[in-house]
Order: sequence, then structure tokens, then C-alpha cells
Amino acid sequence: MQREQVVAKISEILIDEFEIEPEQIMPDENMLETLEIDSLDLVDIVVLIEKHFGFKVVTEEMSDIDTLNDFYDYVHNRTAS
Amino acid sequence: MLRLVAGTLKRTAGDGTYPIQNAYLIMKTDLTSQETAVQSVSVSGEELVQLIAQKPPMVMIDKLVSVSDHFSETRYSVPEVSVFSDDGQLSEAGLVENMAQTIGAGSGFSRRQKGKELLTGFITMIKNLKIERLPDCGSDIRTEVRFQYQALNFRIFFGKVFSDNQQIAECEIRVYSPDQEEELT
Repeated sequence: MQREQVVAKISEILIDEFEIEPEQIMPDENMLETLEIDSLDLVDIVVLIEKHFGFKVVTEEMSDIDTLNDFYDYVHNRTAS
Repeated sequence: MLRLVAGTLKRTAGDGTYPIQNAYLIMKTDLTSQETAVQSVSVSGEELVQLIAQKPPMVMIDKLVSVSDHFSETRYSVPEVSVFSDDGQLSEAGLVENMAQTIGAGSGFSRRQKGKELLTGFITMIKNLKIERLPDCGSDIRTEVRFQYQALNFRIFFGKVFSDNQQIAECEIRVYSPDQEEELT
């Protein structure tokens, strides 16, 4: 899957499933802050990411993710591997 | 904040919700195929207390009667007087505690049976709590909990409480297990 496809799918999930406003999706900003979510909300996002992309997110790997761009890269790398 | 509330799909500033339950149901279907057979057991008294983190007078289950890797069922006779009794009934908090301890008993039994160390879990979230009625003190309740999904260190369960063969309560319970990255089994 191309990175652009990953970005589009994650954006679609955030907008459709979590009703995040499109203008809130700022790839270079801190992910939790720009989406106004906390770590418990993140679990719901991880559930859907795992469902849509077909891999299990590892807790330790999430600790390196700060921005949405980091998250896009992580999902892209996992889907490519 | 984002929060899941049954029957509502809109996210608002104060009480946001979103339709994520369907995702859990899809995952549950996948997991059910891997589930081990439910076995009838009879675990009570001190043996039961050793499986859960709570000690008397906080214990809100009497007997573990069925268990598998993804399911557990308990019985409880609601005492006339307890920490969670209020006006002759088991309180809402008592019902949730009863479901949570059913999770703990089932998980503890399964892990002990496999020779694994018992883990401590922490309730991080209760969602979609629906209570039809509170059980009377002196009555018996039956409680079922089913593992739905695991994401990160969080395990998601769905619990139901029955009295006189009628469902009286249900909710989703999320448990954080800091030591548990592995799958439930």
C-alpha cells in the first residue's frame, strides 16, 4: 500500500468513525493534541487501524509516535513489511 | 474528548461519540473461531478469592461456574448487607464490580490452569452501561463476561448480569494490564 493510500485511509477513519473535523488533521502537529484525544481514546483508533490494515500495533512502537506523520509512517511501514 | 455511547453517532464538544462497536463485533467473530471450549467448573471460597485482586468484604462473586479463554460466568447471592448494598438492593457500582470480578476470576482461572502467573488488571473505562433494574438483596444473580478484543495493553470485555433469567444489566469494560502485551490466551 502506498503512503498516500495509508494517509487517505487514516484520514477517512478519523473523519468518518471519530468525526474529527478535517481541519483538525494537521500532520506535523502532536497527534493527541491536534485531534483532542487522550490515551484511552487512542485505543479506539488502534482498534480500527488494526481492523482496517490487518496488523497488531505494538505498545512499545507507539511510544515513538508524536505527530500524525509519524503515525502515517508507522502504519505504512507495518503494511509494507 | 471522544466517548462511545450506544445509539449515538455524533461527536460533540462535551459528550462525543462514534460508531466503533461494529468493529468490535467483526473482531469478535474472528476471535470466537479461536476460542477454547467453555468448561463447567465450580470454584468458590478461598480458591476463588485467590484468583482475584479483591478481598472480603469487597468480593462480589460467590462461585465461578463456567470458563474458557474468552468467556467466564459467575454466580452471586446478593447479601442483605454489603459494601455495595443500598436500600435493599445491590447498587449500580456493585453490579459493575460484580462484572469486573467475573473478568478477573475467569482470566485468573485460565492463566492458573496454564501455569501462568496471575496478572493484575485495572479498570480504565466503563462504556454503554445499561441497567434495567437493580437486584434485590437476598436474590441470586448470574453474570457473564466475554472477551471482545485486545489493543495495546487494553483488553475489552462485554458483561451481562441476569436475575430470574432476565438480563438486568450490561456494559463494556476496558481493563488495562501493564504486564500483558500478549494475547489473552
